[in-house]
Amino acid sequence: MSKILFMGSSHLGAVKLGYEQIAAEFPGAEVDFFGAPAKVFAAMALTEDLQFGITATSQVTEVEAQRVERTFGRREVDLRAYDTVVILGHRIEEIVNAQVLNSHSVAGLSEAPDLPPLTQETYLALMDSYLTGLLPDPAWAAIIRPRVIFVAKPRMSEGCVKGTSPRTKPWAELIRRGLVKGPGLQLFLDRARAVFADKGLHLITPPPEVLGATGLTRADFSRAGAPDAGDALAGNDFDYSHMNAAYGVIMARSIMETVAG
Amino acid sequence: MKKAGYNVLDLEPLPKALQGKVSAEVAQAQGYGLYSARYGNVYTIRQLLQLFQEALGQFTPAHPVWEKDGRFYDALRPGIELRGFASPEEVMLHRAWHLKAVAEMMQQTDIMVFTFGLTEAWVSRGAEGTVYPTAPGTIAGRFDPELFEFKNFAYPEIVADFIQVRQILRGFNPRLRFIVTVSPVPLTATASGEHVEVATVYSKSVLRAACGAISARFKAVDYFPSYEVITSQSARGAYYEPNLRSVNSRGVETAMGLFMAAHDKTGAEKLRAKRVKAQAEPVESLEEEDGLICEEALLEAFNT
Repeated sequence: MSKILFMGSSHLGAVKLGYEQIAAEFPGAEVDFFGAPAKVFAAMALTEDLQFGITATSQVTEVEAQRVERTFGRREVDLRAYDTVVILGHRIEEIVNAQVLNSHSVAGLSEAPDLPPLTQETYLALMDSYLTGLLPDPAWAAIIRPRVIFVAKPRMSEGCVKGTSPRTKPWAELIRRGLVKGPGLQLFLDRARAVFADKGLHLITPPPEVLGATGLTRADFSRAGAPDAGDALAGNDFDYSHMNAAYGVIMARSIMETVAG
Repeated sequence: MKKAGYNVLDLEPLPKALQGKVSAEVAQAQGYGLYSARYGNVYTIRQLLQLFQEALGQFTPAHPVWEKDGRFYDALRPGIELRGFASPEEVMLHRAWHLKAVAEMMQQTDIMVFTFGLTEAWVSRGAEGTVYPTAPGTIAGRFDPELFEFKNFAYPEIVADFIQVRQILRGFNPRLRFIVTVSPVPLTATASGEHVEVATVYSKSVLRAACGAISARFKAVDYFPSYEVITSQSARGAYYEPNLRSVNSRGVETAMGLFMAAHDKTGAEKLRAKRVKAQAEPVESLEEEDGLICEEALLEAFNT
């Protein structure tokens, strides 16, 4: 019996719903969940004896702490009780990459004669530095047991092209330029995994099957469903970030394959 | 100066989305955040003059692309792309954008700070020898004595070059002012044939004399004595790193402290306040998720 803890920010939700649908495929796994919205999850701390959760110094309100306790039955979790800990929703901020590809003519990735040029070597050096800044606290890399696996948050859903907010416009522009399916985004994910691996950390990024024709996450994987042309929700109020159980099935399977490997 | 709130021009900044998100060391290794454009070190006033003339379409450098191990380098700023460019065409494409940025910088500048670094340079042979910041064959390229020669700029040439630079810039902004300094970093090597200590003193003396002459001649040119602050006997060498060449952080702090004390900061503070108001939403907030939506996504999955 392998004990696995899935924990993380709100992106834990999709994977939990997905895993429930495929749990029977993994009879040897005993899975627990623990998490909180991103702000609260980020305030949680890891102690030297591998307790993780809300501590006395965590910058969270009592109401937020009670909500975690009500949802998961506890405020902190003993990581030593697990063989594997999977941390979901790790932010690698693909939108920053989208913005760079939009603002510069990167050799071989986003070439455009009207944009300032950037060599691929410089792009990679800058991105590696940027991704290094997004690494989790070194304490995570120091954990020998349980095995710790990070899972990147989903790429924005295709529905975001209808939005006009700063968080959706870079994606719409990238799609307009036909670059989402280009090598730039994949290269960024490859580098992210490499930067993590360099520190002894394992990062899972969304597999190709969750991506739609535009290169963003399929619209029907969006938690709120795919917006119709006349959908009142389409636009800036639509939740392009969180995914549903169908997405969760694919991610959970990908995670479980990694755990088994 | 940036930290003190001065409005330091940067016409070739890091991609906006990465500003403040990559290490300064990595950015500077790629030529970002060091100067007002990615021109790398400009050691001689002739090099600066030629850069400005080139940006205005009045000068065409000789041998602008150097090759090394199948990669190609901008001979006028070989340290900018550490691994070089894929082709000579890519070098020239990047150079064209760089020159555009330099031209914009020339038009926008109110105060220009220039540090005179060296009198010695390697230049192309010919009537109007192109000045290179490094010797051909060091970072890239190949030294060919039929194409390149050593030049030790003399006092009259340096003063004359500065006057030309001043004329060009004041053509854009008649009220433009200069702050000039001399680099306190001694020569590591010399091609003059003299002992390096002798060559250093000669070079620095010529540059210091030139700065004295131009600051005496032009009201809008101020000499800032960072050279004296660092090299003075009264400093007892305390402002140098153990290699006796690089200026240490204490030296930089002392020199910059004097600079800040000598120049009006209130104007800089006003500029800073103006800039803060005009700042756009920080990029890092773009992937911040709405707290309520996050809450809903969790509640939906855990049905509590």
